[in-house]
Amino acid sequence: MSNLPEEMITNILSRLPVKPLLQFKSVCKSWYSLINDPIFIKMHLKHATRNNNLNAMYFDASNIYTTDYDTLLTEAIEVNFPFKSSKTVVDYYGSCNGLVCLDVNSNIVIWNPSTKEFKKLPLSCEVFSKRAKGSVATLLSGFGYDPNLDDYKVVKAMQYSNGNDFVGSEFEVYSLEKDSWRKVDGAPYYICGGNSLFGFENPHWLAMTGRWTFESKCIVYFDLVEEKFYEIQHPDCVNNLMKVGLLGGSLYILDDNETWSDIWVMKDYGVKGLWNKLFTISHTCQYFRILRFSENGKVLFGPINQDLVLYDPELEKAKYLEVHGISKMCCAEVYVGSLVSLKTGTYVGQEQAKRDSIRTTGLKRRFDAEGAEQAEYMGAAEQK
Amino acid sequence: MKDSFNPSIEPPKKTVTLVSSDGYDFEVEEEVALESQVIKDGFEDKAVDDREYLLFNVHSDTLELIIKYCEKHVSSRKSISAAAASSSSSNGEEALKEWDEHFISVDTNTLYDILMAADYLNIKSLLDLAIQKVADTIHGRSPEQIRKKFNIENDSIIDPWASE
Repeated sequence: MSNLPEEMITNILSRLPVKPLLQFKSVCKSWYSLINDPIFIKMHLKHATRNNNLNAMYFDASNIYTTDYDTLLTEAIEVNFPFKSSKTVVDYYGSCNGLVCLDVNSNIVIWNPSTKEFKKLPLSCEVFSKRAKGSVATLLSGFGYDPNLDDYKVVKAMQYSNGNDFVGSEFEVYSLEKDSWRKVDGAPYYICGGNSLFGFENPHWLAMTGRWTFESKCIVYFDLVEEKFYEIQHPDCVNNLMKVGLLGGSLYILDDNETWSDIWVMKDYGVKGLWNKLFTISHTCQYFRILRFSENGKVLFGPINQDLVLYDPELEKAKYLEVHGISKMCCAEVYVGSLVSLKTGTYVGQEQAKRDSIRTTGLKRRFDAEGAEQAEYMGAAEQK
Repeated sequence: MKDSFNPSIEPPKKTVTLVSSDGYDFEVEEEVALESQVIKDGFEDKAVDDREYLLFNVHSDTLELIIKYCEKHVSSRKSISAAAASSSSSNGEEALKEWDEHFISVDTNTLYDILMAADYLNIKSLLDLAIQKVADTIHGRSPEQIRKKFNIENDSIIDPWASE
């Protein structure tokens, strides 16, 4: 029974969540190298994305909480995160392939909450000219993946407006591979602030199409390969485009009409114009966001006064779900549990672990990202 | 004696013979056998009277289960699409899922046999089902339990992050 071929073992392991995989690194050398292998990591990510294995990340005033392989996303645990202090101000930029981009007390970091690895970004060019005196500046952020270069990129922008007029914007893009920022041409739109939307490789936002005024909303994305902006057309009958997202491979929009909301879905994202109305909710959803679509057609919204709401469109019934482990939730995001590495070998809580290990096990074991290789090397040295 | 004409009797279905590794013949309907991508590939090129497959890697015990799985999936697909055509609501997919879950709840040895047979015959949905089941059974085990289960020698170097 134990003689499963290696290929089968790889396939089985690729279906597991990150937590057991990190534990299984210590099963044997070949499992250790397999779980660290970039090809395996991609395979694992593909499964996790396809199966919609989402974890939630909840924020309160200065803490972050995550859920762990819990399909209803209601069991939250407070987690340590990069640059956490007693007075932390966290700004969420976006999430892609299991990596989360945050601004923590003005340090921009990319962090994999599943493996705890993180990368602190260098300071951006910050050459914002603050053009047009008296204009109001708003920050825009985004995070995504460039599949051509296998590179993760952060977008940071300042947008200027004067009264109701859009004045212009300045964009900077950071490349993880190059570990540097550079300026790119600004968007010809006013983008409705905030972080980029979940689920896309390219950062997506809601924007105003009017070049100089705030009129009809549209969906825009910044193509990280071409470094250009593109628009996505939504159905003509959509009145008040409130929310956009990509869930389970489909692009969805929420059209809020004060007393009812329509959910539209574009299956096979990328094929232009094939929108289907999924269902109507006889309620405004202005303040809700969709966290995930479940397999059985139910939709998870949240947070609404600390709670999540599981909505069944067929029965038109909503069920409130209390999130445990957090007292004052401000906002919620979702991310995929992935092994994607930032190749920094720097982990949250590493310093603490190092100190603990020195106390308990002496100096035999080195605690860094290449810990195992290091340990192996040291072991070989000892034998000599 | 002459058979009386009975319009309700359908013409005999085309069948295929599957031969297990221990030499048992299983006669199954063509569409059931075609659930296997391996059989499907090149099926048309085979002469009608030569539709016999020797499955050297599949024991009769396992083959019986595999055929049961394929028959269920073929018939469920038909009833699901019939329900969709008459636009009557059906929980066919949900019911099939439950059936699958029950089907795959077997002891470890049987599970591995199904896994290897599904791989050999290339029945994608069954392979996915079996792989997921194995993954579910090892989720939550300790590295030591895993070594035992997969008969792996402990040549491990200690990974500092493993204990978290």
